[in-house]
Amino acid sequence: MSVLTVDDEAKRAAARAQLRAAAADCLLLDRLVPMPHGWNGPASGAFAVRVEALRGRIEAVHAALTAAEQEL
Amino acid sequence: MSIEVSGGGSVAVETEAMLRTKRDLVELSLKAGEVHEEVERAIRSVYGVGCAGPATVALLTGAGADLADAARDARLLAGELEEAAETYGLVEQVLSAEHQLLARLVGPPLAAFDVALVAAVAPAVRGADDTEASGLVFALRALADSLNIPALLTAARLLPGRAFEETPVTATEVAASSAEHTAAAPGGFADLAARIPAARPAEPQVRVEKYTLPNGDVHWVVYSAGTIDWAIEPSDEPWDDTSNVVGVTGGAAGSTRAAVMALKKAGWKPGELVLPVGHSQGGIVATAMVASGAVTAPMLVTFGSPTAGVKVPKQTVDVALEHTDDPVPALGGSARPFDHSRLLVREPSPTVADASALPAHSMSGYQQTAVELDASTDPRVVAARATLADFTGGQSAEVTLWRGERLPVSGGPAASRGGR
Repeated sequence: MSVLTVDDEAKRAAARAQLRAAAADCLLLDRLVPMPHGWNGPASGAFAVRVEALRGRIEAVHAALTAAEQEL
Repeated sequence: MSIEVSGGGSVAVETEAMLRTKRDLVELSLKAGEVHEEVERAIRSVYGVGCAGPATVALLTGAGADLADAARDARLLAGELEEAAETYGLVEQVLSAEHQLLARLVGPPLAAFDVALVAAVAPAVRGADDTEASGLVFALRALADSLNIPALLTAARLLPGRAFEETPVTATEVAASSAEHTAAAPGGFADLAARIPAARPAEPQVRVEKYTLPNGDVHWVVYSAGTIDWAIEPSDEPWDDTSNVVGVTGGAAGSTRAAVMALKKAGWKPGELVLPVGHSQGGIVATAMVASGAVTAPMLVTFGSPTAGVKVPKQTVDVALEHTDDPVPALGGSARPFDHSRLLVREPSPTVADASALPAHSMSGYQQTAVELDASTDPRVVAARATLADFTGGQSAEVTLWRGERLPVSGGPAASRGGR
């Protein structure tokens, strides 16, 4: 059994705040991902798939940071 | 709706939408790098607390790696977007060159097939701006490429009557209102468009602006109206169909000669730089002034003019606004392939209240497109706006208005009439 000191609690709160801030920044990143409206041709369609993969990656990071903050 | 800009540099086509997307991806890449560092700091803090379980550590480690990958991917996508734009521009230029060659070698039937190919390919590449009207424009351009217009013109002149016969011209200053004697420097392409004289009978067709720069240099902007008289036999109006036909075939059209005469009478001296601007036939005048060597120009600006096939000196940036559904520019044939001095801005015509037979060709529509061009952040457009600002030096202009007239020809061809 571990015993947390007041100092540890402060550090944990600071770490959670850092994770929350990083998760909020991920939402800003998500807004910068282009919306592939009208990218219908073969080349632009392939490009759109990669852009969507980028969006998925950023959303996964946001979910991971949120989950990590809750577990701390 | 995004304007399409081509020519004028190594990047042949890069639309505003593509520029925005690329900028967003570059910004995304930079910010993802910053957030990655933020997450790394958070991971160190979590380790410092010493209470994170293996699952949390794995989550955070994975998030850090994902962010690094996201930054890399966004950077790669931005680079590929720019590369794709360059490739697209090259393909368009190659298609244009091949189409011109086909039209000249085998004539309209196969060239029309080629046009169909271009029309089929272009919408897929370009997006949804090519409509049925654009198909008509493609066909007209192919027709213009395929016809031997100088030969047809010669044949037309053999017919009875005086169709397309050039005449001597004169230019007379028209009293301007006191408010019109001076003008602030144009702030952009919309201001240039707004200053082109309206194409109305018995009114001035030419506006001349004189800019005296602080270093003593004198620069001139000449604005020319569009066609006023559509009759094929010349009357007293030089902005007529005769000037259209003679101008498109590279001759000294009456309207061009009248505009140069107006410039000289306004005080222009050979060697002083000129920036010609025109709509429709006015664009033929503007281009011919430069192409003929009558004036030296750092830039010329045309709106809806059939001047794609006219070669201008390399040092002149030839800014051409064309509505994709305006058939008039197509009458000038295809653009010169691999010509980087021409900055072609294409855009479907906006919806404007215009009662003319060709609303896509109306000056009010082109004025609206010019407003959009002024908001463009395309580097070539920004450079063209900078050229305009440098040219006027931000000084006020002395303004004069001019009316050209054809002079009657008695008997045979007048010795002073223009070339064909």
